[in-house]
Amino acid sequence: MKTNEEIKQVIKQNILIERLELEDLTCEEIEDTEALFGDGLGLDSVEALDVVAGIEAEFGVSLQGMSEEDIQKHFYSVETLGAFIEKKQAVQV
Amino acid sequence: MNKKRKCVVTGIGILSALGRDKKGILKKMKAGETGISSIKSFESQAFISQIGAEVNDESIEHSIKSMKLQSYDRCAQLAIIATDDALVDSGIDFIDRKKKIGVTFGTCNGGINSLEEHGSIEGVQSEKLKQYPFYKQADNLATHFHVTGPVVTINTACAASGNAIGLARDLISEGKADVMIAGGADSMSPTVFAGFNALKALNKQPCSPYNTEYGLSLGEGAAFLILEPLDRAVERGAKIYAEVSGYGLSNDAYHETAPDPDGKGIELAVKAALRDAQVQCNEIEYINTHGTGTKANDSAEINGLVSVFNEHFPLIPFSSSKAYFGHNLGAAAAIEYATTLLALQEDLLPATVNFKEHREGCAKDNLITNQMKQGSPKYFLCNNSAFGGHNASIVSKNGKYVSSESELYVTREKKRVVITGMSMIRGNSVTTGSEEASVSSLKVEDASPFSLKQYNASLFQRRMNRLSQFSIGAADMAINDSKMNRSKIGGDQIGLVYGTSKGTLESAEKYLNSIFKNSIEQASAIYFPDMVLNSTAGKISKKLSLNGFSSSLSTGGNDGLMSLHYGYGSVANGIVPQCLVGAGDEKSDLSNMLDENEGVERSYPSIEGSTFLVLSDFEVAKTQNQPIYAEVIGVGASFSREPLADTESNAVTEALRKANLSLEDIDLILTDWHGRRDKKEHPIEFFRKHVNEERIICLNDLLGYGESISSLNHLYAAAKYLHSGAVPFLQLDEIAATRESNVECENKLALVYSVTPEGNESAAILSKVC
Repeated sequence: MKTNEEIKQVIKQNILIERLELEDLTCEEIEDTEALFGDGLGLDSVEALDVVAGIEAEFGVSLQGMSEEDIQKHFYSVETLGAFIEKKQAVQV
Repeated sequence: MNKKRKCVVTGIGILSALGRDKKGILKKMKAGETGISSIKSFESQAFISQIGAEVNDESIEHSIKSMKLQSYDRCAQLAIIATDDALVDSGIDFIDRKKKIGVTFGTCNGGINSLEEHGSIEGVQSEKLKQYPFYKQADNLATHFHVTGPVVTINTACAASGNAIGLARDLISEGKADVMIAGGADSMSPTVFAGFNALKALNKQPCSPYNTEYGLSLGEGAAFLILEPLDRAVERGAKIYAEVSGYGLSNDAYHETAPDPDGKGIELAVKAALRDAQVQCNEIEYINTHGTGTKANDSAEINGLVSVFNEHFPLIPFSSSKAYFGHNLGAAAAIEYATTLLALQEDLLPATVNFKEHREGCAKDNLITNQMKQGSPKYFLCNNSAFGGHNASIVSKNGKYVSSESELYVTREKKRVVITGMSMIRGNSVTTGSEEASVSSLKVEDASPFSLKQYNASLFQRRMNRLSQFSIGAADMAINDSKMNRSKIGGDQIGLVYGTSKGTLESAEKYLNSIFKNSIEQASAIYFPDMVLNSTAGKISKKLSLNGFSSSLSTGGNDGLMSLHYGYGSVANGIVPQCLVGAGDEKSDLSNMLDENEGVERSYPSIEGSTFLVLSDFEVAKTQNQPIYAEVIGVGASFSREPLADTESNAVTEALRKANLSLEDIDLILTDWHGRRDKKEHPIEFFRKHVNEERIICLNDLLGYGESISSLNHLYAAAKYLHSGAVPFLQLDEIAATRESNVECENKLALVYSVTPEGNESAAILSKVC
């Protein structure tokens, strides 16, 4: 099981920077509390769904059937997403 | 004024989840049955939904064997079987080879089954790989039925077969074909299913558009119609299902997958269709909607329809047929159109089955739910919308009201069409019509291709594939070159026809690898939208705010020239005052693999890039003081499996006929050549028999070869030659030197010809404008 810090690092590097190919960004430049959508990183709804697939691939958790409301709540920032994955992992173990 | 033939449907063939037999399908529709059930063709446990609308394999097994279709992709198999049924239904004597028969084929995913079933991109069997390209499906159908007319694959995703029916109507009414086979096909595909799953668009229950449960159900199938001129149909006493009175195309220019919530795009398409058909809002008495069942689609479409019909809308019964057949993607429009015609045979209107409760925002009393309704509309509308923002709307007249006494023709004003803007991006080199085009500035260099971000960062967006970068850049440059006053002409007044043989295979590869290298439920939502070939046209529309007449097509080797063909019609017929026509190619590992697999040993360097032209109504061009490079005076398209030297080219004959010329009148012939030594002789060999060798030019040695763009690059050169008197890109211009002195202005004519390795031919004639 990964620590919260490790999870956040994977989200930034493997999912946001590599999977979504966010050009010109480094992990250090993505703040934990920065909004992923809208004014923050400016991800759109399709990219949000790719983050879902990325999380399934990286952390082996299943998010199939997750509601739009839940995605909005837990996918607000790297911080909230990291906490959500940590909890999910704990449940699955 | 120009006399145009009316176009009618005289034959129908369908393969769907509700069966293949037309009477049987209608019986099930009457019983309110759905074809949506558990997916059988692949393991679907990992997905949100485990249901879909599949064609029963037993119903086609025998036909595949007897018609020898085993080596084809399922998409082509479904199409050929449906077409065969349609031909039988029409009663046309198909042995009559004198008839010019054409094909317009709408597909969203082409031969995806052939590519995906291996489970990795590496090591796909050679025979399978050959069946993947989108155009291959139409070419297989054309070859199977020995057609000799125009063959076009329309790739506007879920609106494709609606667009295909519209284009077929044009080709019939302009006399370019005697019979058209028009429709679409798509097969059930686990990787496509995975994409819709990733986009959270699937419904756990059998879909029911406008119902409280969101989501769509995927389906598969094919439907093809036989279209003929009304006069011929009357003459031979054929059964007439309907008249295709008019159609409209548009683009949302909004988002790659989501519709404009206000339904602006569908509104423009419907209005264009009504205008084209010369039918008033209050004459429409039934609407078959796209209605996928997703939250975004259903309300947007209703909003668009309300904007068109206003107070009439509550009086018009409407329904979506997707609850019967699932969403058949590229085949959706054709299946829904064909089954609407079947229902009308018995004075019935299709219903939206599986329906329980009206959804908020979509609650309309005029929605036909669960039970078919009695009705015999004189005019009705069929709508479809797609990824990439493309919309297609068809206005038809019920066959019961098409009597033999009715007018056989419609008259239309014919516009002169001129080329007012040109641009060409090849690798990293850029040139536009107003510049001197020299060879030195056009060296093929792959190292760092054209960067849209450097050209204009506001047109770029992250992860934009190279094909889109080239194409948006070239389209923007062509508009600038035309000196068009963009503020005077709104986005809905500029059409766009884009041709690409294979689209962005690099993005397709990324999508497929997201599945092959991880797992199917982790499919990439960001690359899925690029699996459809119209994604590039969609991005051009969005970035340049083009809402008007909009199409995307493939021919597999002269896509650019076919785009010109279609765009020319849109301006000549007054659909739009200006139309961008262009093409693009992108090289990637997968495109190289496909080429290698075909045994392509090209004699020319392979290039990637994009070429665009602006076509304008001559009067508009004069008013706006646009530069005029040349006038388009004739276009033609045809298909032939025979070596060119053994036969006349129907495409050339047709273009000459339209221009009222003979080959001997032509000053310069420009032709590209795919460079495949195994296929047909070089077109130069054919033209040599008719005209002096010095008048025939192929620029591939200098410009390199890109399958979608090369034909248009030659047209670019032809226009430049007529404008400046010198053949561009040639270092030593002997032709211009010898001919310039003794050629009168009015007979300066150039012909551009291109043929694909499969035998799809296209020709255009340009004239100098003095």
